[in-house]
Amino acid sequence: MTANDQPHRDRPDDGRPDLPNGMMLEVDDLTVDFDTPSGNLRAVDGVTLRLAERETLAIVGESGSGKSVLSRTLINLLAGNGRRSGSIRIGGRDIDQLSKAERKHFFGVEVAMIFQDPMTSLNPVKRIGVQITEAMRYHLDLSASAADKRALRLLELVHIPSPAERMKQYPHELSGGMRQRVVIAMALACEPRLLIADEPTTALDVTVQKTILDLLDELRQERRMSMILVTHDLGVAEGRADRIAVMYAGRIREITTTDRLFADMRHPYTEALLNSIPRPDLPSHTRLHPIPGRPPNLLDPPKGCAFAPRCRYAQPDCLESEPPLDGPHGHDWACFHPVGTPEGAAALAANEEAGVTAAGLSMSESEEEFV
Amino acid sequence: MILVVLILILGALFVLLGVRNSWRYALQRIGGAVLVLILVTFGTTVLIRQVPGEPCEIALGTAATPEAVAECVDDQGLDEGVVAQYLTWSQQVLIEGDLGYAFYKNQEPLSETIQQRLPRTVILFFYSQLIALAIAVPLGIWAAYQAGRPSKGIPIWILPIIVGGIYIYGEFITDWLFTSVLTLAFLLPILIFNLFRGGRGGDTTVNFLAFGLLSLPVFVLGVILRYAFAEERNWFSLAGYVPITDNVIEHLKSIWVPALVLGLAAAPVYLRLLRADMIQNLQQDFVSVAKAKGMSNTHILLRHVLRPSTVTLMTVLGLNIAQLVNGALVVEYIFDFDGMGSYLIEAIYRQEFFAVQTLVALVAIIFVVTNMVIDVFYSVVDPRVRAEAA
Ligand SMILES: Nc1ncnc2c1ncn2[C@@H]1O[C@H](COP(=O)(O)OP(=O)(O)OP(=O)(O)O)[C@@H](O)[C@H]1O
Ligand code: SF4
Ligand SMILES: [Mg+2]
Repeated sequence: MTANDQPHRDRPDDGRPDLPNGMMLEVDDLTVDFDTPSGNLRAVDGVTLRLAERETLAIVGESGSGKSVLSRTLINLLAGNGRRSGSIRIGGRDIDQLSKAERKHFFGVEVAMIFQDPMTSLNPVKRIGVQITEAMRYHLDLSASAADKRALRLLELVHIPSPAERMKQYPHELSGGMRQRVVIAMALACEPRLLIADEPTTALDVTVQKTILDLLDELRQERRMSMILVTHDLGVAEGRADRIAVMYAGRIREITTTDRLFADMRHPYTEALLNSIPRPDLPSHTRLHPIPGRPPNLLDPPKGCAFAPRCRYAQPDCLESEPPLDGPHGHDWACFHPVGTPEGAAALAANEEAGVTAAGLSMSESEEEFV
Repeated sequence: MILVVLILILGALFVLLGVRNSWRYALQRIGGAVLVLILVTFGTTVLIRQVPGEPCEIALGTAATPEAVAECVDDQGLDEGVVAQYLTWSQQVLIEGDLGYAFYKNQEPLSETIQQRLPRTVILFFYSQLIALAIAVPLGIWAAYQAGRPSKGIPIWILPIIVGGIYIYGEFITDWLFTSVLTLAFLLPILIFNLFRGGRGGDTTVNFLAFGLLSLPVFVLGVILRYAFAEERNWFSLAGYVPITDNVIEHLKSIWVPALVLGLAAAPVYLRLLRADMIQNLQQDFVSVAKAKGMSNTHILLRHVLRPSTVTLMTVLGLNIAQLVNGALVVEYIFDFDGMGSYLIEAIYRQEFFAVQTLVALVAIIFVVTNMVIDVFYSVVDPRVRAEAA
């Protein structure tokens, strides 16, 4: 039996070199700009990230915060009108410095991605089997029968019943949950060390969501993968991630371990986000508080902190300059008046006194948050 | 009889492809086809009789006696009503399958004419479509691929300026061959540079060429190429069609220019359709997925995007079967090509009512059958159609 026949082998003796400094992903000052008819749009703005081997990092944020652009950029999928600056190192290798030969078998092998919508992720005119095996045949140079065998195992691995029949079916013959399993199987085909999952369950109904997330957890343990889990749902992130990065208007606003984030959050946006979702640890009749206002127009970003117009803590200095992302002990935040600090309390008190924030948000409008 | 066979063949095909309710579907399609056939032929029967003139006099020639003409009119039933004439004709041609004579019994049997001429037109059409696809498919794929990338080419508005400049200069040279060579010497490098250097400029260039070709009427192109290849030099033979079994080179020499003209006329349309479908499909998520899997661009274009993008192209290709006679009409006339098109012109000219009716019926049958084949093709391309067909 050749090594290629074994999708389940353990990571330590898989023959791949150990990662230098144990870092799976190092992103430095990543910026993505899009050329649009109405001007330049900065979708990702100076993102710096570290992801250790076997770690799961959740990226959360509202719609339009740049989560998808960031994750697609990590796997070198940039729309024709996009430009990127900053560096991305995956498994210690800078993706811009890859030789042509290395590059050919890098994306899809070292790093793979699962997309948001399983309904459109599969080619409607190609059989499931072909779609799963094509990457293995291309990257790993497997024969048709060896690739088929591996595809069968992968389908079993993602708990698809009667996999042999599924291989011959077309996507429209499968339910959404089954399709997402196929998409996951496809992403795992070449045994990536890093899996980027861009809202893998958003398009699925709630019961299926949990099974897919459980499945991803299980696979991650088994295969010792690192994972970036993109979601707009802090609840999902809480249960699945080691660390969480909160993104807003293209920037990371707060990043720390999951426990710390929930126990000791610093950024007003994190707090607002948390108050806007149902929480199992709070009484079920607790009111939810949608965040007032809308995300900023990225074509014409406001000066200073991008969250200021919606922030209950906003002070005049927030409108002047952009707060840097920094903090002690692996807990970074980008805010001048952080939640849970004397500065933050003072800012909130001052705003409540005035009835309006420095950016003009009426405090009474958002007051119900503290009912 | 033929109907039953057709239903069986079509039904069997659908069954093979796994279409639901195959037999009912086949029956429906054939039923529709028969209806079309009746409408088209009846329409022709009525319309052609509106043309003034006396077909029997034309058929018998100027030397014919009035008695002979009267006998001909009586024999052909021309004194009866249109409906009666149609019924007689359809009984004889459509049901008994006896095509009769071009018009009257002093002429050649129609079946012989068709046997001789139809294959030529079909071959001409076949070659022209091959040429059109050979141009349209690679360029369409390439243009669609380039459309999504940043522009790097030389701006296309330079081209008319260069052509115009050379034309003005050419006024003084008066040697059209030299002028064309000069034009090409300037144009080709720019075009090639734009095409291959890539980016959206490559797409613009392909579109520019397509629109240029599209705005050139078939007969203008035909006359120019006839002059260039058949009269100025001897690269095309006007001496008449040579079957491929006689001599391959002579065969090609007797057909390639009209095929090229028809092909060049169809190519830009196919190109635009394929390009549009490809661009649309390249936006699909499954393309991102394939890219994320690290598949090569060639693989994505040819294996993922091309097939679902051929649907519109095939639809129009099917409709173009009407060109089998329509387009061939002009081109066959220009190149003195003895095919169905030129025969149809003659038949109308000579008021050979029955021949025209029969030819129209023939074209309708070919049209309907090819479009059924295209229908089958949809379900080959897209498995989802199979489930929905019925
Ligand atoms: N190709 C593009 N051209 C121009 N703007 C783009 C392009 N792709 C994305 N954007 C813009 O970038 C911003 C971030 O989009 P992105 O899809 O990353 O958001 P998201 O956080 O994934 O949101 P969602 O939760 O809705 O998926 C949006 O304002 C979007 O309009
Ligand atoms: S307090 Fe100021 S810096 Fe902090 S999030 Fe609010 S507006 Fe931004
Ligand atoms: Mg997204």
